[in-house]
Amino acid sequence: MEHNLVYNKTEKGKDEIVTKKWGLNLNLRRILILVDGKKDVASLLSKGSVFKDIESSLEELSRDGYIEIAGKSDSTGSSESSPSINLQSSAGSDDPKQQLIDLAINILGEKDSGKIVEKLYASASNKDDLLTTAKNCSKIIKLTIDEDKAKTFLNNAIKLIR
Amino acid sequence: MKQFDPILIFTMAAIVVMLYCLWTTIHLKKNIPGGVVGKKWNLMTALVVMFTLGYFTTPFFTQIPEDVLRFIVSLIFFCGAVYVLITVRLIYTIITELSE
Repeated sequence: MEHNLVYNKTEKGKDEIVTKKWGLNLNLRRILILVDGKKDVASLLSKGSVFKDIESSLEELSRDGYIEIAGKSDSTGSSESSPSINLQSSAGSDDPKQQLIDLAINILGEKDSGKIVEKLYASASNKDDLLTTAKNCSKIIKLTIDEDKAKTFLNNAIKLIR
Repeated sequence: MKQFDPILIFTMAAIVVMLYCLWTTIHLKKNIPGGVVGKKWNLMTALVVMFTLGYFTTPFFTQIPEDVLRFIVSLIFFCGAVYVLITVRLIYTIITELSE
């Protein structure tokens, strides 16, 4: 797979995220959420520490019509290879909602980020709603995942949104 | 024909329900890996395990020496009180957190 390919969600992909009517498994669903029409494959692969088999998952999503090739990026995005918490690593997308999703995945990892990612994805994209959703997500993280990660997520989320 | 024994029926029903509680507690744990609730959940699971073991002794109460029996019952009561305390505190913490 070429690492400078940029994928975007098809109507079927957007529909699946909202309705879950095709019953996509959790791993594919999370990778589908990450696809935003801006990040190239290399950028998605930089999340390799938290998502496994991204390339084969992208191929499967593409084959089944959930995503389609939107174009090619100029660089391979190799500069985004660090999986650590880094606000700049989300800068590939200028959509704050997508940046928050990336942040949640970076902090919580693949295993624990599922519900938070879905809540963020379901949020409206304006700043007020995103901030409210981020605060609510932080409470869920504090109650069910980890208190320190909740603080880290909220602090970084506020910086991203403002 | 055997006589209807409500004590035996309630004892068996209690064991079945407690086993279901144990299964539910363990099954739901994967959705609560940590955090405030996750920490308390581990303690609650340990208590449910103790309750389950305690409940399994109830069919043998007639064969257990009285002093051992009193000890088991008092231990179950104590753990029950701790369980209720943890549950009440946990509910209060969740309500406080969500209402902030």
